[in-house]
Amino acid sequence: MSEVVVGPRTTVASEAVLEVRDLSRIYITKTGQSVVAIWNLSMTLWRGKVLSLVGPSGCGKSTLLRVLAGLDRDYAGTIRWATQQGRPATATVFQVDSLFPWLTIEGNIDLPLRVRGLQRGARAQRIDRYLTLVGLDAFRKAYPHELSGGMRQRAAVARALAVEPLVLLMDEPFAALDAQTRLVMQQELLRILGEVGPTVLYVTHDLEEALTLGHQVALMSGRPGRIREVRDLDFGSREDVMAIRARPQFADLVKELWQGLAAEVGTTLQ
Amino acid sequence: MGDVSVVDTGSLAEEELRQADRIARQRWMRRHRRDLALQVVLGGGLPVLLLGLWQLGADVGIIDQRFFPSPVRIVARSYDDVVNHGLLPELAHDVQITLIRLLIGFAIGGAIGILCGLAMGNVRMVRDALSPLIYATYPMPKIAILPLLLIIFGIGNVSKVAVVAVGVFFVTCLSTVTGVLYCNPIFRDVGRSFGFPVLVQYTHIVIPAALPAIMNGLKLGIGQALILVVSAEFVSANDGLGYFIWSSWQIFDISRMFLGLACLAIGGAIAVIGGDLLERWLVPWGNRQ
Repeated sequence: MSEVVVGPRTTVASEAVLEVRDLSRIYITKTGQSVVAIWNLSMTLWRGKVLSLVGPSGCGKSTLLRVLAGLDRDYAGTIRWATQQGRPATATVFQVDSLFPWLTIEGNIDLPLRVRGLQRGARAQRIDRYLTLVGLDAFRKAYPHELSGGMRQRAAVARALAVEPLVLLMDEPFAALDAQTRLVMQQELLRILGEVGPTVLYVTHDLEEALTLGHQVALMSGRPGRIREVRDLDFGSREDVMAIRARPQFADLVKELWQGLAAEVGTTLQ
Repeated sequence: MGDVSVVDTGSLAEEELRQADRIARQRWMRRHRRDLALQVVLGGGLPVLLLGLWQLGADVGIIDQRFFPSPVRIVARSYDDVVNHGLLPELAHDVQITLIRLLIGFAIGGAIGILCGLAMGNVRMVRDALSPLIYATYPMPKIAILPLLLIIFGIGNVSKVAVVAVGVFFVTCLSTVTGVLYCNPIFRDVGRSFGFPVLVQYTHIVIPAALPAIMNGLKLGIGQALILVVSAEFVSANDGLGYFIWSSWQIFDISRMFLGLACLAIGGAIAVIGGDLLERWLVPWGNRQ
């Protein structure tokens, strides 16, 4: 699939992991009305890169994620994956608490691995690796309700990374956290992504978060959702959240992109 | 990580910090102990107060001792009956027979209720088929179908076990259905997005998610079972705790009647506490502080 990739302009030199072509999804509401959530959406995810997807609420971001996660199969269009080599296509970090409350942190990470048929030794290794990576090694025997919201989301990140998916889907994972914790978590995520190097689709409605975390940012139009434009991002190093945000180009880009986004928010409000 | 902070306070400040921590701990312990003591005094005090008033009323003569013998007299009479007049074997037999009816009925009703509730919650066709029937018959007082059960199963133990089972079945089944239907959809999404096979989704997501509701249904079922077994024994038995109480009333042996009631109260308390302990063991993630 590395041959010709038709898609948004990009200078990211990498292999396409996922190609979405002309994806459409139409809902029928309870009152019998049809709602076009996504219309002819096309995009490409590149190996080892983070694509931030920003758009006004109700623009179909979550619909797109559900389709890619395999939770919604009533779509039209084509989705092409790179060879999976025994890896699952996706794993998702959800916006709300999604850890199973009846399992310990360790149990939560272990279950998907067990379902995938991994041997005990391999599972223990992955649990160790990813719990250490997110800094929760000391809390492996704790139940989710014993942890803070930020810690629970870190555990959810570890659970998703541990199955080593082709694409990591993140659906506004820090939206439910307070502003300070959110910044700390963004910092953490940058480090984790740097160490693991996964391909990520990061959905958010927070423009600054999108620019901080992404190698590329894609702007979505209001309903019906489609990709308006894709920008490559380069603010120097991807290590320090505050340093990235302090760059003059960062502020300029926020300003520039916000104009377009604000117009879209206007259309969805009508 | 964001949660770890290292504060270099120096050794002097460290000593101060330890001191402050000790004081805070002592204060907390004191408050905790006071709360606990108050809880015990209030919770235990009210029953004692009521018994005291009863005793006082009986002694003074406001309460007619022919109908309401004083607590002291009841205890003395019961002790005398049990120890000196051979009531113990009879009482033990009645308690045992009631317990057997209760447990068998509870086990059968609970098991069928859970299975039926899981089927209804998970399979739309089963739910569509059974819902009207179950919701229409649910509000009926279960003891009202005892005559029907007597016709079907005869006047022996089976009809009593059956009425208990029917009562437990309804509460367990409906609780289980609710538990399954209101299982947080995010948990199912997680299962599907990680590619869990359908069977694993049931065994590892739906059932644990419904477990608190199932436990709640079983706890309600214990209460139902006690009511039903005693009611059934009132009207159609010649043994069991219900019969013991009812026959005492018929021969106007009030103190014996209270003895039976006390046994019931103790049994009920044990059942409720046992249910709570079982829930703690099975649902360790439940909302406990």
